[in-house]
Amino acid sequence: MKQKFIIFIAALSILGSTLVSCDADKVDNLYTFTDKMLGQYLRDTTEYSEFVRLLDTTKVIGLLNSYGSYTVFAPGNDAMHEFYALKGKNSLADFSLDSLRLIAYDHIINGSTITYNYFNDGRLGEMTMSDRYISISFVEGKIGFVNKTSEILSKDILVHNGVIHQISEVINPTNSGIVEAISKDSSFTIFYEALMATALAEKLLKDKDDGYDPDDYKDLISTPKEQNQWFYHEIPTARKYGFTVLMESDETMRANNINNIDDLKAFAASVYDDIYPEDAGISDIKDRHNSLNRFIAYHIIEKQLSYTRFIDAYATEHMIDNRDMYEYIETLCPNTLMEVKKDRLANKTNLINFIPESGRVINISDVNFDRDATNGVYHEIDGMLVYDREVDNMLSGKRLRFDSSSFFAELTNNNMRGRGTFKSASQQNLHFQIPRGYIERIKASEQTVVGYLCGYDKFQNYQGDEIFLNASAGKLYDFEILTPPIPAGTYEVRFGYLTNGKRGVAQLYFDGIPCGVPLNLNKSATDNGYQVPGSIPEDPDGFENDKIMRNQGYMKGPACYKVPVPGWTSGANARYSNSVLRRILGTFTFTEAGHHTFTVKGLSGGEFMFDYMEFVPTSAIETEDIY
Amino acid sequence: MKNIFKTSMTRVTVLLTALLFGLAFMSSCVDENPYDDNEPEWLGSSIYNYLQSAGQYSYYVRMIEDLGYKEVLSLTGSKTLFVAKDSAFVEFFKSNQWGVKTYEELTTAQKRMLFKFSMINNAYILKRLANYNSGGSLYEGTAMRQMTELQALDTLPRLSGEQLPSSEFWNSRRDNGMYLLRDNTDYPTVFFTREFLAKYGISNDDLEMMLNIKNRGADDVYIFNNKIIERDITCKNGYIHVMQSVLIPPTNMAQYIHDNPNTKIFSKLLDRFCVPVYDEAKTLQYKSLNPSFTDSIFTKRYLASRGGTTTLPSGKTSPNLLSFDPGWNSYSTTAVEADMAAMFVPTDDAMINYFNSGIGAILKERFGSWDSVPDEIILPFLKRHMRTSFIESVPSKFDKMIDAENYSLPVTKSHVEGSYTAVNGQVFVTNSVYPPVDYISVYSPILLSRNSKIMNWAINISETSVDGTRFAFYKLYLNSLVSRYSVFIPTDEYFSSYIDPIAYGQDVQGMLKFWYNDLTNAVNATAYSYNKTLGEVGDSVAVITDAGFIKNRLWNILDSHIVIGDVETGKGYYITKANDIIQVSGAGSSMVVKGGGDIDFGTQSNVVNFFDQYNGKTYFLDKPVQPALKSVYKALSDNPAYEKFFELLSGVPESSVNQIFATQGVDSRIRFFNAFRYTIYVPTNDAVDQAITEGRIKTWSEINNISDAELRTAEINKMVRFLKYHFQDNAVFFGQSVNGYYQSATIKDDNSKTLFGTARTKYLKIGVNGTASTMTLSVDAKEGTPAITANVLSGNGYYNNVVVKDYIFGRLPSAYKNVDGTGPTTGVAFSTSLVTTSASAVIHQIDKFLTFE
Repeated sequence: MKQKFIIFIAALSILGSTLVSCDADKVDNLYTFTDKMLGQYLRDTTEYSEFVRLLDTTKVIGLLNSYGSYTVFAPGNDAMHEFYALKGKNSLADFSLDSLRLIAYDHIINGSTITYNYFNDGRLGEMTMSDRYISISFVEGKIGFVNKTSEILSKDILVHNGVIHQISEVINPTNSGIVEAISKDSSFTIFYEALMATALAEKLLKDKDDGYDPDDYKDLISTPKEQNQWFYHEIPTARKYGFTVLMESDETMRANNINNIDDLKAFAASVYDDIYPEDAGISDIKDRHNSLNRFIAYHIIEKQLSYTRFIDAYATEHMIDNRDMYEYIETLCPNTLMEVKKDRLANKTNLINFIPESGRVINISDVNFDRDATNGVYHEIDGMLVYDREVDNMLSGKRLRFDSSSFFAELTNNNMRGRGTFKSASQQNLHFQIPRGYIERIKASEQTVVGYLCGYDKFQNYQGDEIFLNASAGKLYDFEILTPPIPAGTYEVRFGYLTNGKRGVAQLYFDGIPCGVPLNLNKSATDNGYQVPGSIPEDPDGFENDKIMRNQGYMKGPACYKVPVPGWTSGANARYSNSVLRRILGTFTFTEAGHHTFTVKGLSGGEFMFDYMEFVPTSAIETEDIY
Repeated sequence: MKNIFKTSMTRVTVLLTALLFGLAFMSSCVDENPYDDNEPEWLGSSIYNYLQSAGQYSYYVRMIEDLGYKEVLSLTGSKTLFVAKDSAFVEFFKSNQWGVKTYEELTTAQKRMLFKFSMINNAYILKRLANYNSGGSLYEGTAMRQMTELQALDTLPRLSGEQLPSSEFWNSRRDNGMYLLRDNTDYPTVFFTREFLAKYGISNDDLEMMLNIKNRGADDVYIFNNKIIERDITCKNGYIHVMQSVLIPPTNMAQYIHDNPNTKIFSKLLDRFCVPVYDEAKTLQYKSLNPSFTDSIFTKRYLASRGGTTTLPSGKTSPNLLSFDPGWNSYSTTAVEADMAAMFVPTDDAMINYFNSGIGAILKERFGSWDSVPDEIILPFLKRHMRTSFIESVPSKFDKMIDAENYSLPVTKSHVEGSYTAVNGQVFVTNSVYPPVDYISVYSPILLSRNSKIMNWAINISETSVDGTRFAFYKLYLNSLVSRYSVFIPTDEYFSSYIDPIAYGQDVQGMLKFWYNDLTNAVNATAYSYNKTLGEVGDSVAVITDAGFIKNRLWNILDSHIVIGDVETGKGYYITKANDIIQVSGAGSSMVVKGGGDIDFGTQSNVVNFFDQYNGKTYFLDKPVQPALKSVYKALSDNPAYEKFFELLSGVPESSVNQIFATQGVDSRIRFFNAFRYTIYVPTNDAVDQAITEGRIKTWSEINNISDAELRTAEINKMVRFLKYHFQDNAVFFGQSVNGYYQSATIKDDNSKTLFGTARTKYLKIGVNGTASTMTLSVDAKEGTPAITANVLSGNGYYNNVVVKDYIFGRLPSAYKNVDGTGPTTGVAFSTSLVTTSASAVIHQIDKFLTFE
């Protein structure tokens, strides 16, 4: 037992040293370890007696005394009593059992032992048993805070089946939907009025798909975790919707001479009547093409994006850390994108629609962000967020690279995308088997199984993760994917994938147009003319090889990501890997901004890996970099 | 009777066991347990007792007694019975497929069929009927079949020779007939529960179309098309469900198709793929029950990749396998319970119509009758009509059906004339035929022709991916109906004059004749000596059977004979899949095709027949198209008109990494060429002199005399960049309409702005403007530089549209022995030689040098 304990501590130490380091102002990492079960530890610690009473009453204590992995944010007795008072109650007995169960669940993460090392500013990747996110923040001199106000008084109390962090306040997440939450926030009255007046609030009411039952799809799991393979299958536990609203405060509005909704209408018209002159005459603000409607809609994203999930969560170890990152997010404003930039050199993140020439940018407030709601989150922004000509020009003049998982809101809203990188040394990778019809923008044949593979340190994938489609033995994959909206223009369209010799032969289509003849995707990059840059003396940078590959319809992988743990593939970055390819689908002219379809029909057995997609304006190809 | 248990067999068994234990061991206890001495009232009696006492199952009870199942159904076991009341039997005796009028007329075999097919060897309430276990997991609501007690040996017919299938495999039994099981697996029953139908989106309309089930209530359960009218009668040893009608076991799909008078043609085609298999186990089992039996029992099995057998009576593996055995009662892909198969079977009228019109007429023209269509050609036709999943083949999903090659199957509801639910699948009898893509694509003439066996063999060679998936890429490629091809096929009798490119670079050149070896069902090659100077073919010097060699050469030939798109556009020159340049004149059967080699040798390939297919045209040729065998190096070095430019190209000091030529292929190749097609602009000798005179470049001797190594290197690089700017990606031809910018082979290494906007690290471009009689080039000079142009020269004494080809071989030709076995002692066998890749180019002579400076 002692030996196991030492190994355990050693493992923790190693793990701790390899994980992304916490903010500099966090206090030292010291673990407290007890060999008790979590429930027992709490019971034996008088300070938690009221919390234990809650756990007893709700019968959750039994769970915490069972084997598994749990993270508990435990409020002390004072915190519990303060909570009763806050709610106008005297004791636990004054709450309904359902309410108590929800309170208990709010404090427990089932399935993961999340030590302090894993805490980063923003939401934790794992959700509580009540299906809510826990948000972590740091203040100098303090260990940290949960959901901004509940201080972490003591961290990393390790027990046999998990970890406890003592907190100063009972976690009390809002039970309001995103619209109700905004309505209660007095900082955004002008925006809220417009949100209601445009009827866009009605778009934000969905919570989850009640018709979805994961039990219906358990036969999709062929590799359960218990098999101890390098990966395991899971089915999404729910099909939730999620929303993000970015809002200018009344103060910011006023700074822009907007004092009421009429001013806002005028402002919106000045922007959107210019870029959409054909709609300038639409006065019905509920019309999706009206300028005010577009203004508000451009602030709404049908994904639940906490502060770190705009872009930081995708800056996995795969991403070369001196290369800027860009994320393109569809908004509710018809056929528009929003760019989010992570500027490595300036150490800035969440730069929205940054225009290099003018320096114009919108930032998310660093104090008023991650405002929680049951079906979403909202953030304050520091300037007037618009999709105007300048933004349109910026977006339609540069390479737009989309991680494949960014196409699908369901992956974000159900806590699949953005879970960081699973470590091959200590973890099995998580593969979600996605039921047919679960993702609205993937139409797959009955034979096709859609998978989402979370980031894994042995993958050489852009942002670590991938969409994976395959068919059972003797069958063929066949699917169609709807892309996010792309601005009008003429683009070279490419998709990126990792070769492994078993991708099959397939016919690719873009917008229903065959992209040439059937492709043998089983071929390695080398079979398609790839040479490692530097391996040919007269072509030290591989540019001549780039030309050769483009003549064949391929490109090397971009130099902006790598495989963190080489083995399955190697190379300093994807450009230096003979396993990574970009296939040029062709050049297409989009007469107007809109969505497009990428269709793949397998012609031989195999699996299809879809890592990312690029839309490169033909005018930008000449000056395109290797990243 | 009340429905007490919520689960089926398990709980019943456990409960009964518990009760038995209770009765056996607790009788001495004196307590108040009411079940100590009495069974619970709700448990009912045994199945047999219940049926007997109910008074309306006398026929069924008589069967139980006659077949010796009284004890079984009185005492033990967990059974589910689907029984019929006497009233249902009365209806049965009025009309049935056996013509039996009274109970007494039923044979024992018939009684066994009626009784055992109505019994499942587990206890199921209807709510759990659609559950099953597989691989340790419980699958709920997803079953549509369960195995019954009816076994293969319960129906053992002896067939006369006339009743046996007509294929040669059965001839040895034609005189005496044989005991033949239609299948040696047990019979499953097929049922439709609400859970199953909902799970897979199968509608009432589907059921009506397939089984004539009308007005199905939401909770109704059907066994085939027979409704359960009373359910979940709980007995000690199982459950009873009462059927609306007597449950008669259907047959399997193969037998139904065989018995159907309207599907004889299809059935006969199908039966080509069935063989008699001696069934030792069944023979012994039958003998043990019937000691007087001295004969042998065979099973009819289909040659199939799923179920059936893959072995011919000869012991050899069959090269032709159906997707599955259509006679396999217990057909399954994962679990018997989960699904069954389906087949779309055209009526005889549909088959005849197809054979007499449209695409089918090609078959008739080629083979005369369905019976004469060879097995390997009829196989894809049959497979296209066979579906591995019933669930994916119900009428509401017709429009989503794809075949095994991912091509849609254009079945509509209006095609369906009849439907039959067999124990192993659904048969849809159709008034339409669904020919495979093989029959309609550009591949079709190759498949169906008598004299294209060589190319057909090459097209069907399979590769294996890393995960073991086998795929014949060329077949998939040519069958792509969304692409358009022109395919040239030298037919077998003309496949005799292929000049091997590797041998062409050796001391002994060789010409290959490819031929189909009917004994081995493979292509071989006979090599003849060939004198490239005289163009004469000598004696045969070797026969090559090495599969790797044959595949390598035939795939290279295939690539040189496929053009993506049409070749009758009048452009004159086209690029093949191999990046070869071919010259095409004429159209249809008057077409003439020349490869680069043909142009050099004055030969040509004539189209002798052509076929207009769904995705392009297939042209049969009287000779393989001979690609160029002359390399860029050879073409430039041999022609005095190119002399000065060639001197510059070949003068790059050996110390420099920036060489133009590399020793490879037939002699040398352009080092920076890859598997693509290029254009080379060769300035006249005067133009080269002008470049030197103008100081644009130095001569090699001037450069080599520069003592400062750095300066010398800089001058070498400058010269190489100058030379490479005359090499352009993409082949453009004099006489064609061209207007565009093409990348040269010279990289831009600074940030200066150029006329064509080329960025640093990208390749400087060449502007090309061509008409029917001119071709003008413009250069990518720095912005502000006066426009400089050059012209492609034409007319007497000038050379344009010279087609050349640079090969890369597995090794240098000198590393192989000659085709006749002579050659270097260290050389490896010629049959191991491989053509790796190649690049083609067209050379034009121009009046000025090209410079971007």
